[in-house]
Amino acid sequence: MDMNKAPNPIAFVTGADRGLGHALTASLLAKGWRVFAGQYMPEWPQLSELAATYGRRLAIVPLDVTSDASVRAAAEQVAASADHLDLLINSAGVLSTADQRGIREEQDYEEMHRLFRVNTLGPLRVVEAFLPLLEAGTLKRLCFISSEAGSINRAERKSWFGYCASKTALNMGVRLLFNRLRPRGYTFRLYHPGWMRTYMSGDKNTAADLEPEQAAVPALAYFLRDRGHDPHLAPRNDEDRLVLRDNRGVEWPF
Amino acid sequence: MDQVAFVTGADRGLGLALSAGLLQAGWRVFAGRYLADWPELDRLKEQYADALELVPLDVSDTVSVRVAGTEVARQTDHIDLLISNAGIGGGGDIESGLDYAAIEKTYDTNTLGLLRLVEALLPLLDRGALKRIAVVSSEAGCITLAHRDSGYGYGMSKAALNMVTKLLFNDLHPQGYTFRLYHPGWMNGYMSGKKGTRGDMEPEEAAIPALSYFLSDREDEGRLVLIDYMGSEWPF
Repeated sequence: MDMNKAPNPIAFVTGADRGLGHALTASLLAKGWRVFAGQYMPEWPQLSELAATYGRRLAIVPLDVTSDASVRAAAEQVAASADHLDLLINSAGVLSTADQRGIREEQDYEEMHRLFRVNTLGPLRVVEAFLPLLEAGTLKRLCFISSEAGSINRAERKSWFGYCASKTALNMGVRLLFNRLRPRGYTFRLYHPGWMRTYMSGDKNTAADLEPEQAAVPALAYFLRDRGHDPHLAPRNDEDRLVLRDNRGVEWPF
Repeated sequence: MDQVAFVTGADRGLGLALSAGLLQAGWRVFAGRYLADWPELDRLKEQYADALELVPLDVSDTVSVRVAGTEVARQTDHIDLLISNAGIGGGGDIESGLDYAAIEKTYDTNTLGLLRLVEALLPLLDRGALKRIAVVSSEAGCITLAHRDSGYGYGMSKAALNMVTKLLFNDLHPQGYTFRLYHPGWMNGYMSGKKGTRGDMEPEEAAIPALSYFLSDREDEGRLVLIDYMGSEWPF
């Protein structure tokens, strides 16, 4: 489906306050989409600045992906003004500096639980709550910001237990979703966006490779492209396989 | 020097059978006990009064694991073999609604349990000659070949367990540690709370190839692999 010809395509983006989620929201708006943006930090100004530019095409939705009640309320708020969703982007994610401790240091299991609740359970909770709206959409596309850090095969780290495990578990959770929902017409994007200058551990990481606005360009191109008819992949329909791809199009093993 | 093992989830099922197998082979065994009222470990203790020590253990409780580590350190100066076996099931499916608390509990036990154990027992394992960490995982943690469309808690916890094991391997293999990441097959164990009846084998049968694999040498110790009870390698 060519979304540029679709009337009124609608997206929901989590973690839209800043970083990649914000940049993806801005790009979708620039392409003419209507966007519901999940907001975790009402005091952070970037989403309101977008709202000033795009008016009613952007709706800000309070969202804490670790809370059943918050995610349900968000789905109800969206359902009150839209009869469908075409695209869901799960971008909300966190990192913890405590996670870099090696096994010979004291581990912070509470922090590991927090990373699991946000990075792994969050996307599942959002999919569950928004499934009725997605069911009514034509694109039925589910996008997940994962990470190369979730690849067991390629793992070279010696710690970051909580973050890596949360992303591996996310990849498995998405695979189980794929097995159930792909036969019903859903399509999936499981994606490593590159190392970005974002706020995942609370403060902006200035050492990383990419600004989120740069990272959003290949990410959105990949999320919106129809891989079922990708000439580079022909004749195989790449939609029928769940793959973890990075910002350069390279596939990562699980 | 005595050969000393620490086995978790030793109350019943595979953990009990592995403990019995080690005792029979002459090992000294510290058996992590989760169910104080389950009698099978008491019976084993009658049979192996000197070689078997029962240790109260809840791998989802950081304090419990640290206390167990301290208690074991009072009774032995080393551990050669750690078998991380304790595990639970749980999940739901996406349409009827996932049980997020149950999924998190499964992660806490099946995934973080290994980290708690290794963190607490590493000083004892450092002084052992074998330095072997055996992890009971599952093909259910294999993302590449996953065919299920439910069982989120179990599948995600085992995939994450494989990752945690890989990170430990990256750190500890250069320090002389060897690893066994293992899928034991579908057993009539107690994963759902009561004994299964539709499995391919009994835990006593499953313990034989498992223990043989845990105790024998591998040619390729420099690579972490998930191996099943038939000796086949699974992708991650």
